[in-house]
Amino acid sequence: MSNVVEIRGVSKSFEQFSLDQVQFEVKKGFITGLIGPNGAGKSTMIKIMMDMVRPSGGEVRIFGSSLTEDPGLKERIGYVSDENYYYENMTLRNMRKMIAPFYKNWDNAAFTRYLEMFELSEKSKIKNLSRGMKMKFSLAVALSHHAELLLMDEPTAGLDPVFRRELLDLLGEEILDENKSIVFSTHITNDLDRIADYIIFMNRGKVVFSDSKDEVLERYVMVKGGRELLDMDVRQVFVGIREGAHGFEALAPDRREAERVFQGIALLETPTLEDIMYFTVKGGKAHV
Amino acid sequence: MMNIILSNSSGEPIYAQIVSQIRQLILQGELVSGSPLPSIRQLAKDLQISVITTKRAYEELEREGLVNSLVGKGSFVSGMNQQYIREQRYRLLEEKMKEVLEESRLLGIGFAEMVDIFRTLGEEEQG
Amino acid sequence: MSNLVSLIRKDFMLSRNFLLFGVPYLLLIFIMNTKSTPFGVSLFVTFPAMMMLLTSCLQDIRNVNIRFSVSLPVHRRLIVASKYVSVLPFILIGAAFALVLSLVLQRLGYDILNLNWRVLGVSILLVPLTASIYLPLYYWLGPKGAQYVNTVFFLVIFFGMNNLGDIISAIPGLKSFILDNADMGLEKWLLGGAVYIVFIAASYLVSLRLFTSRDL
Repeated sequence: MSNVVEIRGVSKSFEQFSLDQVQFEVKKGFITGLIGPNGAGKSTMIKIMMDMVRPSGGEVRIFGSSLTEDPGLKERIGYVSDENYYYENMTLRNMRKMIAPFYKNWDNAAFTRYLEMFELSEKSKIKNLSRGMKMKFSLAVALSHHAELLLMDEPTAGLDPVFRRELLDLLGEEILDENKSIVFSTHITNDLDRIADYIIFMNRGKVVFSDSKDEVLERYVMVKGGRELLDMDVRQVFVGIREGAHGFEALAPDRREAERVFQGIALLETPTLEDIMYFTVKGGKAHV
Repeated sequence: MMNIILSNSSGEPIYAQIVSQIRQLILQGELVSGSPLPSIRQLAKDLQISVITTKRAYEELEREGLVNSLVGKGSFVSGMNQQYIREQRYRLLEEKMKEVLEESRLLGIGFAEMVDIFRTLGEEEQG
Repeated sequence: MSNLVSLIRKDFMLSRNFLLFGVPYLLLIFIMNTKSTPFGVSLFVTFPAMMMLLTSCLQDIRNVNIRFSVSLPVHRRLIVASKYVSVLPFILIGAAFALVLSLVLQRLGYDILNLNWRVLGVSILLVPLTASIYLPLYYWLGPKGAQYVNTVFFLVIFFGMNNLGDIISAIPGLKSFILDNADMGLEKWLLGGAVYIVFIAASYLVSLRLFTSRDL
């Protein structure tokens, strides 16, 4: 199984936060979700993959090469930014005319098809599009040059639930081709609960884990029970606890250990990605 | 036609739901020997689930001998004989009976009483 | 090569609206500007060319538009180069416009444009020179600062071109050199040419250094 993206020990300092020895890879043929709270460094990592931000240390390999040295490789990437970067005064048609010549594999028929599907008119100006429509236009561009790697930064932000589902269908269609790969950053993790194959979880500029989603969901476990069960030793089992008047909910990183301690006396459930994100970010500090 | 209905709230992992539903379709004879299954990626797309999950379900079905995968051709319901299918279904029946036994034990129903209930149900069904 | 052309085409598409609004405006200024000087032509060459460059650069820094260029499968080097090279077609557009206008006016019996080849030459040469001062500042100051640079340059170019005659008169010998077709010898030509090219090259290298390492 080959990697389309390899990130090795990437570091970078900003005023607000810093990336610290970020390390992960993206496997070819799968959907990888990049999750984490706002400000975790997801967007920056995507920009680093796109060679828009240059790390101060570490190595970034896309298709086995460096985009800094060979930016032509971007022809094989469909990039969707979290912020609209198309020229506000341009019509969609003019934007298309500007973009198309840069891609040998530009497919006008596909582009027209996507615009129709997304109910966008080529005559509209970018500035007259809603946030969701801008995102759709960006998706149409990313999907219209037969890219092998889709790099999408918060693509579902600003989209209504109906289109979010449709987007998941589109991604499923893309991934029918096992040579294509999708990286998808989001803080709305329900989008990924089902379709993602791999999950990279970032928090405060660090990778918490990078693993197959099924493994992650089987490794962690949610424990729910009465507060009398909580003592100092028991608390050690959890990465995060939420305590209320009527009991506690907590996330344990080791299902087997949690089963040993709580089997029969508390409720054990498979967590969602959101559970994992919430309890990891809050840590032991989450109280009601 | 192959219906697979996934539950988000059953607590059973998605891959296990797929395995049990396809297994059932095969054992009930709705999927006959040699009939093709959708490709892993196609099924993943149709169910809006991950490729890895689907792959895992197919691997499990292969291990059980219910499905054969041929490189480049896809997956098919395996050509096992009627005897084998009968055995499998028999095992399934046994498992269900075990569940009934377990349930009656929890309810404090004795074995003889349970057989009585069972006989009554059987007579009702026969009309 | 084709990517360079596509980048310049992009800049042209971004700035062509200026032609639509700017040119009628220029004509108006010209008609109102009764004191016709031989330097009027620069208003039609230097001014539109620089305005097109400024317009395309302004569009590129608005919002996060600069990410658009960088998302394309081209070297950052090429993005910078395209800004420098794009002044050539912009000059051509300006020069063609000035020539046509001057010919039309001559036909109609108004020789007010008073086309002088040396003035035309100076007007043309002024464009890469101004661009070479502008672009490093543009890349250095980044999106926020570049908006101020743009405003300053707009004013400088606007007033500069309107009063080019006075500015040239202020530099000793320059006016007589331009208007009297004075010869200054091969050495000076070569020296002047070399300084000119070195200046542009240095400006390009500075811009390149500033832009290639920038986080966008």
